[in-house]
Amino acid sequence: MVVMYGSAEPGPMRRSIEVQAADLESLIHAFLSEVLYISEVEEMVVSGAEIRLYEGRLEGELSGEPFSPARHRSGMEVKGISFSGLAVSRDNHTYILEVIFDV
Amino acid sequence: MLQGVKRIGPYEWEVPIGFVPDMRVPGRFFLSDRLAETLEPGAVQQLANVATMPGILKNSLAMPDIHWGYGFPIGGVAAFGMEEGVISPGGVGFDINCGVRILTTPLTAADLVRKRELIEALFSAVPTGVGAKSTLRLDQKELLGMLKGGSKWAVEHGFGIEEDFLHCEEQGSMKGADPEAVSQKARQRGMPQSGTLGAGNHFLEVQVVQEVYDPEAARAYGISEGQICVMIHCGSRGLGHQVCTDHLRILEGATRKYGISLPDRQLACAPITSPEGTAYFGAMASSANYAWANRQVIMHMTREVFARMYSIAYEDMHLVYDVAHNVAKFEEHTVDGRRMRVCIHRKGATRAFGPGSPDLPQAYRTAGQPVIIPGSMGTPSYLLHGTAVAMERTFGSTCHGAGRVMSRTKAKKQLSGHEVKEALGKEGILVRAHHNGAIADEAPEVYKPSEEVVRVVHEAGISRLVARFAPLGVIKG
Repeated sequence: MVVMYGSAEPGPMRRSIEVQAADLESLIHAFLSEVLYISEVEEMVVSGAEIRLYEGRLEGELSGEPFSPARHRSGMEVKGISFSGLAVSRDNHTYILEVIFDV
Repeated sequence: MLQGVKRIGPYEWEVPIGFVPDMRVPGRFFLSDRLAETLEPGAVQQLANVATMPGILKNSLAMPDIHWGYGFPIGGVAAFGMEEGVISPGGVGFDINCGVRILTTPLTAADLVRKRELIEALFSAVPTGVGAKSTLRLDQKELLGMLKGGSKWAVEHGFGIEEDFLHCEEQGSMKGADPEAVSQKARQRGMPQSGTLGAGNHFLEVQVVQEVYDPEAARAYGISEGQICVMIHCGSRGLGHQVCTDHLRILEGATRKYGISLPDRQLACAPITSPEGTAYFGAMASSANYAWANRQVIMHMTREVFARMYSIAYEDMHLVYDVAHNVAKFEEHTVDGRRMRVCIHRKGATRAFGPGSPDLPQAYRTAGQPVIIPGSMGTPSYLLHGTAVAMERTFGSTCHGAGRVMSRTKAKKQLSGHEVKEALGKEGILVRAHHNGAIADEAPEVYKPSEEVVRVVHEAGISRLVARFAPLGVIKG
């Protein structure tokens, strides 16, 4: 995946993700790994995501638009999502994620 | 230096058992006082974490380019016994067989006219950056051939000459590759990216041999002062990244299944001969072969550009050697006086086999294995040779590069790509990238000084200097 800088407006592309894992950290890791895969093979610039968490399952809806060199700037390449330093905490109704990407 | 870490030599430090709980062996790393100023405590902790893994032999090691990684530190080396030991994607990294090769030309600096045109021609010939498409048009069958055959596959498909793959670590084709263990997702990512340079710290650089330190070894490697060479640094692209991600998940389950206790989930591992360990090795070896084929194809494109622009023969440009920086392999080493087969992990470290090694091409057996250490953009790169000391002390391993001192995000905030490009231009170094941000990401200030890193491995004797290369022009993704 390459970090891409584009519009924050919801784009016309929609993709659904569903992942299963035993714990919250693993669900986040699996979800982000899937985002990375989709953005690379479909050349999708993701501008939004809605996430629903269930016991051992995460469902996500991505929105975005196709990458276009004329409209988007490309940045560093993300190679993978690291478990090292991955932390998920909850503050009232907000989840706070600390994620380190291998770039 | 960190509390609890002991100096045991001018350039060698020990992390004793007990630095973190459950260490099985001590940690050892190589560092000068100057490099110690930027040593991250987290990297030493990671070195100690590796020492807790089952079956680790002698020491958890790190080279002087040690810095904070994921699971293993970057610069980390660890060998595991075949029966009681484990294999871990955390000891290889996401970019499997990220590596570097150096190609000689018959040109000298004086012959290198039209340098800007050359850099533009290389930038056009080698697909770089986001959305750049492979010119190979591989189908599934051909991809399988690439995953099995590596550099050899590329040469057989017209992307080089026979001596090329003979001048690669593992002859550019790792045995035990099992493409069946490479997921469809990984293949899907790998197919359109074969023969592309990628982004991040990957580059193709035109260099001149600035100084020869060891004339005998340089002669054996075909290197002479003033000669124009090309260095190519890239890896297994999205295919390797996906293999790491896929198998990390599988090995997380295996870690629990085999009752292995670890201080960091990124160190997820399985016994070497277990089904999970075997599958990871087969997929990782396939990715390593993909990377070797990738560098071979890029080198082919480079030769064609030079042949066309300077009317030199394709065959007069020789591959000195190709080394892997991120890989796990089975090698024979002497441990406590006993010759044994081990599973060695090198993550941001280079194999540095000494003179006489049967794994080396005949022409290099007296000098030892060529070790290629790329500098950061704008700083010198080095050619060294492997030593008997490395065979005794570091399982035949040495450093891999300069090592980061500043994160890429911080680099962007502090350094403008345009300024970096201008400054390098004033030194006569041309930089070509799709956008200036990629240049700021890799500015020389982001890295430890390469000359100090190689000085440490030279002084410690784990590899010895042969020649220094100055950059003339570079293309980046």
